Amino acid sequence: MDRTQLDKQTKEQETVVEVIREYPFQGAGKTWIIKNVELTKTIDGSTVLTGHEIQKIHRTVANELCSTIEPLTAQELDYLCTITLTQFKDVAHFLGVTKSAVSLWKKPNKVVPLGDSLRLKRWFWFKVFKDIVQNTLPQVGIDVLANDEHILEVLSQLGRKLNKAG
Amino acid sequence: MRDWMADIKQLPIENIYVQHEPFTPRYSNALIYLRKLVHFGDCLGFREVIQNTTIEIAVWLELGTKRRTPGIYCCFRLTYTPEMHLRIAVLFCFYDGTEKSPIFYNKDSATVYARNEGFRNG
Repeated sequence: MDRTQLDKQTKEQETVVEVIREYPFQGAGKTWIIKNVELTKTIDGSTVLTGHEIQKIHRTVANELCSTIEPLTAQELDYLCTITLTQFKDVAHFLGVTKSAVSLWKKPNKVVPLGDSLRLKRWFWFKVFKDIVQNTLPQVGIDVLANDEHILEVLSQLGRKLNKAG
Repeated sequence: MRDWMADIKQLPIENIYVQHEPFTPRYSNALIYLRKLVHFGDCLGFREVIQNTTIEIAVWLELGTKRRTPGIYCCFRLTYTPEMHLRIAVLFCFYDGTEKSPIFYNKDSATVYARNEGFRNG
């Protein structure tokens, strides 16, 4: 039996046992309420959050964090790096700054400068949504790309739509 | 010892689960670090639950390079087919030192704890 058949058979033997309408989740320094999180009974009898539901939680939070015109806090940057397996040296490389500059942002009460925050938010958004964005990306007017405020708003709407589709 | 972590890495992310527990910040941390545990965690040992089909492994993840930064100790339950194809992995234990959970500053101390919990090598 190949991987696809095995995964299909595994899914068929699982059942959703409960939907939590308002699921609390703490990440990036805040407590979030995620709508309609499913609990599943697996083939080993455990009640679990599936990888799909966990991704949904992270996409919801990342979508909210990445669609505001505000500086990223140290906790938000740390959260986005952890869920996307991004190292701080990659962040430094992407922004063209030194690793020590990024380390400074990790200190309490520090935030990432707004310009760098907006670049990082767009970068992280695509990291989180890249797997499902390719087939569902609607046509977006070219004028949107010229303005950070507009593109973040479009990405926010798109994120909500993709999270439902994914 | 079989490379259990390699088996987990081959699973689609949808088949890697976290056992449900009531909300706590530590439980949220488990959801946040799940991918990192799978990609960068070191297996400390295994114990058999049901012969040849259900295995539990203890995993260690180093966080940061400073000696005073605690790492993460956790356990996965792996369910295999009789042909030893991994079907699902369930994270069912997560210790990061918060909420009075056990705290480990290095792999050696995590390994000693795993041995005492019945996880063995080889």
